Amino acid sequence: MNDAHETLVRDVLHRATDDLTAPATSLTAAAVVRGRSLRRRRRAVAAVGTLCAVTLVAVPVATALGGSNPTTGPQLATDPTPTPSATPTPEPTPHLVDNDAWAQMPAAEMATTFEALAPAGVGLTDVMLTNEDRAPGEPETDSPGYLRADLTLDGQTVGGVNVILYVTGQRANLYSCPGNLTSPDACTEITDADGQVVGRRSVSTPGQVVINEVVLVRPNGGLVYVAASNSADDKPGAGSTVAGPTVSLTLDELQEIAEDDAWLGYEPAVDSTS
Amino acid sequence: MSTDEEFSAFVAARADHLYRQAWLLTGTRQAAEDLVQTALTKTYAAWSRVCRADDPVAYVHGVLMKTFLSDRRRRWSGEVPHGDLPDRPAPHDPTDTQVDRLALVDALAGLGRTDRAVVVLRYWDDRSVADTAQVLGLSEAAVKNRSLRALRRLGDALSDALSDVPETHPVPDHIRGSQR
Repeated sequence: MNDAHETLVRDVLHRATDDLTAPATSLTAAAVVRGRSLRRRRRAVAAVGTLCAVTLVAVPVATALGGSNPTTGPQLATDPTPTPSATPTPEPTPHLVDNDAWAQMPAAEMATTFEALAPAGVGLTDVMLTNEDRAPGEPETDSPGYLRADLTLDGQTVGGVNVILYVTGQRANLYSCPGNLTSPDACTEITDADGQVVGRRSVSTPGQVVINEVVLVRPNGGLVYVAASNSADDKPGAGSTVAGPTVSLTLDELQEIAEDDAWLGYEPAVDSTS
Repeated sequence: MSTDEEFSAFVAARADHLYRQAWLLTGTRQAAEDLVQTALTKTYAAWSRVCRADDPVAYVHGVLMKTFLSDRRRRWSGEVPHGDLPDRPAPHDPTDTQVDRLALVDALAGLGRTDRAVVVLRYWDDRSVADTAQVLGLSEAAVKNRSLRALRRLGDALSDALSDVPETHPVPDHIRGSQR
């Protein structure tokens, strides 16, 4: 059967594409224009980065030399002071800052962390170890920590997990009910002692697939999202194959995992070459 | 030869291959063009690095695949994935190609993005398990598992779709043969 399938698939893949031709001229022209623009932006960013590095070195040097008086020395860096403004405050824009380095935890370390926090017998396999280095010019993501893996129970695949670490400054609809959920079967907000919404627990059941999700605002301002499903598909949905009728990790167990401070302790290695 | 001339020559030589790969990954001509365009833009911006690479062609295909996969970084819920409608067959396409293309787009849409990438690399680009694993950041065992799973689903879907084709649009003999 597999040989027949392979023959059929190979044949159709090639027959369907053999006469597709790319608009090479327009692709080239647009790539040159956009590529130049991208290269200029990258150089500008690199120049700013160099300036910041000089500033970080220069501030302590200037201080050590007695140059802390702004009237007598160059003002190399100052904290921004908020000034009254008549314009409305814009929505916070998520962006990666030094305080968000924790969210850059690599997938392999996230998998190890997850397994350490999960109940006995629960493990991961088929962990997606993607290269998270951004291509030149690729924008920073607001969720650098990303784990997708199959979930095992006593060695048997029983579904999948998805863990995402979001940097600070996220919109509330990511963790309120129903927020950005499109069709949850259940959604319960998690509140702190002051009644503030700090997360949500939700269940969605597209077809036979069951997805349990917990997302929490952490003390550092970032979000930890942990989800488990009874399907091992990359993006489970109606029509996905399921490993069983229920999810092997309950909402309580997912919340316990999301609440653990182990997610917050990651510190990226300093790259001395950059 | 200037940088732009080198780049143009490179694109002229590789554009069709990149475009076909992108079409298989995305399922529509428009999305394929967008994906190739993004990959080529990144390639141009890093052209000196591409030229220094051991295998510039592999480098560019890696950029394309990474660009495609980076779009998978979405939560499981909160977004309703909706596939683009498959391309309408071009008026001058031969009938068998129309049948293949529509059936294939439909079948590929039933696979996850990573499984689709595995299928394209393994069965269209003839990459080895080891190569595929390296490009996608998976273990070789994972590539084998995904290959088997995806092949089964794709084979079943294509068999069903092509056997349902009315006689006015006969399934080509070579396809019928491979279904037996």
